[in-house]
Amino acid sequence: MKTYEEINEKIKQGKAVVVTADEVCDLAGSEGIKAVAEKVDVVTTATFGPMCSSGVFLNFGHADPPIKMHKVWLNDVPAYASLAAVDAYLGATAISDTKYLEYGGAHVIEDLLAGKTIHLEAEGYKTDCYPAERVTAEITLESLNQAILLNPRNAYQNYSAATNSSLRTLHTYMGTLLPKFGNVAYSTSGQLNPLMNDPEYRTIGFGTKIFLGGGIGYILGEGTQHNPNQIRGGNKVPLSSAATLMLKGDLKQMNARYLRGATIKNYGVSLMVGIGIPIPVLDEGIAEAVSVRDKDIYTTIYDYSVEKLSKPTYGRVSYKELRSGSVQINGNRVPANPVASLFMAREIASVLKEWITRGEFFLVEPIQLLPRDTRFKPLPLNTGETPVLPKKGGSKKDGSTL
Amino acid sequence: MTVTRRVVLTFPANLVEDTIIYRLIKDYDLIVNILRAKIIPKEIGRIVLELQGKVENIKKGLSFVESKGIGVKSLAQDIQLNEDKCVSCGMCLAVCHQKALSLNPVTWKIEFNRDDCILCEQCVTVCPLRVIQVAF
Repeated sequence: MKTYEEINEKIKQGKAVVVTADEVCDLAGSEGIKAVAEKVDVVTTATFGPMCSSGVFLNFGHADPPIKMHKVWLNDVPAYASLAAVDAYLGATAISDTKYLEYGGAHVIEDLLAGKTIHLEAEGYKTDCYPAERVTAEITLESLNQAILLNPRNAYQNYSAATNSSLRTLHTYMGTLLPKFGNVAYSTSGQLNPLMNDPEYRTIGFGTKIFLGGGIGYILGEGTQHNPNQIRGGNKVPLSSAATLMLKGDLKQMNARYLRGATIKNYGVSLMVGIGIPIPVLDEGIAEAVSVRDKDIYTTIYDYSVEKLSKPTYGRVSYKELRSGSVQINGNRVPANPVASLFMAREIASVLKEWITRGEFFLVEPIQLLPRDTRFKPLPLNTGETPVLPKKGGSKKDGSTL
Repeated sequence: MTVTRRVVLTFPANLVEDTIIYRLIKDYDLIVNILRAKIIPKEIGRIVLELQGKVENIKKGLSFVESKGIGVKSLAQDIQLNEDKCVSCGMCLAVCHQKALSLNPVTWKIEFNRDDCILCEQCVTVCPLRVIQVAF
């Protein structure tokens, strides 16, 4: 048994044993779980991939004479400004009024981080407090008073895999899904994924200090659509999309390498977010959890061609099978491709390991762990109502990326 | 010695209607496989060719093509993967039927094998970071 205080003291003295969630599997394999519990202090986990539920709170500073910004655009991308006078929230998936899906909120975030100048346009309505009606300005990350990344749903604990039984190519947030089971797309970093290494949320919660976008961030608790009640395997790891995290961090100390604006073809804009979470090996139970391997982590394959909330499934596959490059569906080999980067996740796990090993990053014990009992509910429509679908062949808002 | 080479021919608008492929086969004894072609009368045209034949004949054949005012470029030069900006997410793999793009199973970094690329360009629009470019 170890405590956060003991581990932090070891980090301070430069004596902490820190390994990545990949490396801990090797140690568990050769020396066993007991040895992991005794020898290892911290295991670093990580993930890097498109996470749509992301965005940044910005404070622009006041103009003279002042304006109450009611509508705000950054490089033609609209931001939500129904807050105090010069506050706005720029959502990662907001799309440009002029470039549509080619440029969006996520790209503005990446450009800010890269030190680029962003064109601000704002409109307000005249009041005694705020006489101005319109301003334009060229802003930079440095010129902002605050730029606080606040992502309502990141770092999914597992995620369902996607395939397509139909006769046409689908363009989804899981990338391109080729017709007639042409491929299976999967996400998450498997055995490196933060919440799959702490499946019962014993160390992850409100206050946990993390690597976020190349800088320091914190977990604010459960993310939206948090679903701890997902069906679990014998190792307690959920068999499909489950828990989520809400994250916060100061954008000003982040790095454009780990926050990347993405355009997913015919789907939309998203932000690729790099996250690293340290897990303290407090006891043998945690040692066992962090030693989980891709071969023992399963996800469920869903048919994305069925335009229903509840989609048919084609069974479960392990991340080991997915990583092999093909999986079996209905007796046929189907190519499998990731949509989240294991390469970057490994890099982040190593960087975080470095920070801790060098005594630059200390663990923070969460003041409240993630809830285990919330339910993820669908939207109950008014009696007799169904969502309106567009007419076949009708006009479409330009969603093409070409 | 028989070899295979892949080339991109760029036709100026005024030459689009000239006979080229026929001459390559007939005069230079080349096996010609058209991998891709975009020929529209009065516009710049492009053909991606795989040529198979004697080294000498390929050389002479391509000299002939160039002498007609048609641009000849080796296929490999035309696809650019910006490895510094690529994050190796893997979305491009779904559309690369040639498996010219692949994930290294050790490093999990995306690798591009130019020899297998037939310039279908599907990866260009699927890449979420726009780090794959085709430069004709």
